[in-house]
Amino acid sequence: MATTADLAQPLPEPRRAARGRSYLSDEVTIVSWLTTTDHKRIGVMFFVATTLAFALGGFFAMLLRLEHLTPGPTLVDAMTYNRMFTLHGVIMVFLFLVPSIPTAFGNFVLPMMIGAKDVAFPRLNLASFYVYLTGATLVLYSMFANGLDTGWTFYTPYSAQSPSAVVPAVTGVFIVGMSSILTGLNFIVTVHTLRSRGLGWLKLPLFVWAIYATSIIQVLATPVLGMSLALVGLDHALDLGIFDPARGGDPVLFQHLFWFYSHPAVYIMILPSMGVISELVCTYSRKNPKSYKAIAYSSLGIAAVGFLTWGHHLFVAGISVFDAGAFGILSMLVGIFSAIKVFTWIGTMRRGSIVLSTPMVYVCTFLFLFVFGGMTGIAFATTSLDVHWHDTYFVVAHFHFIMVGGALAGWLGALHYWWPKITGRLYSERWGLLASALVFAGFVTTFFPQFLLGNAGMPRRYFEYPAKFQVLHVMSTLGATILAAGLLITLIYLLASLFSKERAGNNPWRSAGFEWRTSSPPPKHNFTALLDVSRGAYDYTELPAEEEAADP
Amino acid sequence: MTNGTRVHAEHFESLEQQAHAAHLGMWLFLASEALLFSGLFALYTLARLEHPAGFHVGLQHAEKTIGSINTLILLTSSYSVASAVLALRAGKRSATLTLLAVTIALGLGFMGLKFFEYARHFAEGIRPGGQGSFFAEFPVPGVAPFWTLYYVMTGLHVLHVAAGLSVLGWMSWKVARRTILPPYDHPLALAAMLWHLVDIVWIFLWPLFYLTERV
Amino acid sequence: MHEHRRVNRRSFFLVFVALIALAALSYGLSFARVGALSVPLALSISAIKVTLVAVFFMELVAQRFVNRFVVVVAMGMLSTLLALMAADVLTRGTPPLAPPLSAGGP
Repeated sequence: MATTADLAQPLPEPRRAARGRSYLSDEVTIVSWLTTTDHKRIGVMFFVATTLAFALGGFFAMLLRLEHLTPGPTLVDAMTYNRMFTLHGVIMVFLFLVPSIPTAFGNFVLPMMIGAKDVAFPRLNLASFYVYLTGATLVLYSMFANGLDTGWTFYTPYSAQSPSAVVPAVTGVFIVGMSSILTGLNFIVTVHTLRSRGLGWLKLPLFVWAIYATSIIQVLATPVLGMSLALVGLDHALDLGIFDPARGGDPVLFQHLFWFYSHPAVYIMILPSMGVISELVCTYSRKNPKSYKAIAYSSLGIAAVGFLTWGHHLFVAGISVFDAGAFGILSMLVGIFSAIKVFTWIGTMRRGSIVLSTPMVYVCTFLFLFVFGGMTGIAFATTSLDVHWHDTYFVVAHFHFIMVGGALAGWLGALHYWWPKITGRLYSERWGLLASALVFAGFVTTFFPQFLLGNAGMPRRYFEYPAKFQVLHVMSTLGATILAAGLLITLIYLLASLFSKERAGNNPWRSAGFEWRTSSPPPKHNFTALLDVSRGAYDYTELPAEEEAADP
Repeated sequence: MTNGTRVHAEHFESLEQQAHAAHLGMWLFLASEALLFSGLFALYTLARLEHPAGFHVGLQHAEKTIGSINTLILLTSSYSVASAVLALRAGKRSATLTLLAVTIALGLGFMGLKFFEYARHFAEGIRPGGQGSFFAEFPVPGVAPFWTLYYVMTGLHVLHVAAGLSVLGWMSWKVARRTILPPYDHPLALAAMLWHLVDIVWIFLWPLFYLTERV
Repeated sequence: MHEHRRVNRRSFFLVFVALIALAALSYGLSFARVGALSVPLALSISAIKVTLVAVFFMELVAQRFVNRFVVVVAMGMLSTLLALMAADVLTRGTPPLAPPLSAGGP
């Protein structure tokens, strides 16, 4: 670990025009990256890993959509199709959506947002990266070994009997879950113990509240997933029959244990995005939040009440009517907190000085699509409606509206917002606007038809379908192509910006946020002077000067 | 981060802050471990509610004496490791090492008895998954889940015992080499917390798998 | 955090004695005819033992509020999981499995 004495040593000049030391130019060997304990470098490494996972999951998604161009077999056979949708789900949920924003952006900006030099346990942070890689490797291995055809939900009894590579896959997910727990633990302790002097809880940036609430869910819920998957693995390997009715077991109990994690997991996936939206809304409306406490406390509310709703995934699985009723009511309650957030964000934008740049387009994308997704979620909480929609494309559309329209939009917004902070470069705004428009248009074209398909009775995870559904399927595939194009263009212009000679400046968005009060990219220990928290993170009464001086 | 002019890690302001962070981190980790076992306790509860007769049959064949000796072993080892933490804080290095050695010995004794017990069950025809001659002899619904949960829960527990012993051994090494010593002594307290978790889980496993047959 | 009046050799010894006594109590009760009370009684004694270990041996008594809060929240989650799962199983109303004819039966 570097000491104060080390910082005084002269460092090698970076290749491009020297502009002072940053966390990037501090040491440039591969070994220095692989053994780093700097939260910023770890965040970058996580970003690369999770984005690669996203690309792989997206590749499977495209194959699925291409397969559905015709009612019968198009590209692959049924067994392969089952393997593809399973891997799409496993990779997207466990290797991308759950870790992405916390491990990449949370790692990078959270310590800066509380005025700290690093997270509480930097070496544990590095360890959780390698744990993630280990789990991800096992999941990839299962992909090549024999695939996986159980669905990402691993329901028993099939998961205990499937001839596919269940054991390596559940082991891999278990290990990735451990990484998730360690990250969450690290962030909770960081926020409790490393806040700058004078930075009370109610002065924290809202992104910190969101990550904090997410971390609580990660620490408490993930172990139950671990256990449920471990039991599937043991059942598969040792024929334990824990969920086998012939041996006194109950397969529905697996579903209870699985969804006890996997429902709160959707809040792990959306809360960080909501945190990003809070930051973007304030920066690009140049306003403080309409009600800081509403957003902060509703994050905790979502985490708490989100734990009480899992049974709505089991409405038609054979649970008792009483239990179904209880879960239906509890599931509706959780929508209240999301609504509080949405109205508070809109209230913040009202009478603000809106800057319609690419991140703001993603904010609007989020608001529009999340509200639709969320409303269909509340509709699902009504048991009598769920009976018709369960396991149809209606459910697929619902969760993609939230996960892609919501969580991914937040991720894209974060990527563009913090791009100059992380890389010191600015992307092309024109290409950004074009790509974000394609993403929005592509998304709606992909998933809105799926609501119609599901309502008309098209089941999910089905390889073939009746000819009458073909038009909607073709529309959906066309949308997927547009969405993929938008994402590909984004990748290209972001990479291209890395080669530009022009520097972004310390605070190109003129944000009041704490992380913008140091240089972009930041120095290794984040701040060269003590963070002045007397001016709040959302204080736009005195706009920051064009170029905030950071390094002396 | 060892003794010397800079006792605490660089990103913390003081050793006290670092120790508090470490303790909070360990409590969070223990919470996650408790949740790991909670699914199994839930399965036990629900299976027992569904099949009380089968669980009764299972409990009748539990090795009550071995289980109870193991309970005394773990309770004593909790006492010895807690005392070791006190001894270290008081600067008594050799007493600390002795108490740690006692704890580790007790832990190894626990593991030995456990595997002896598993061997006895196997000899009786009680295997995981409702397999083995015992289940043909006692075809009562619920007997199979009882024994499967027994193996899974005590098996997971014994894995944690092994992990706890490894950590305690590592800490003993560091105490012996004086890289853990007051005021930098919280790592031993954290390792002790892991060991107490092992004891806590067993305190619940003991009645559920050994004591509560219907007399 | 270290110099708390309750965290010392004497209190640890008393806790150890209490733990052994409670263990003896559970063991004794396991031979008594307590019928349906056997599980709640045994688990209550376990809960007391666990509280003693956590509060004294693990020094919760001497630590900050947030550490205790973590324990309380974890217990709450465990209870929630159990309660809502049990609410399902107990209210399904399916008749119990008939015992096989060859065994003694309940």
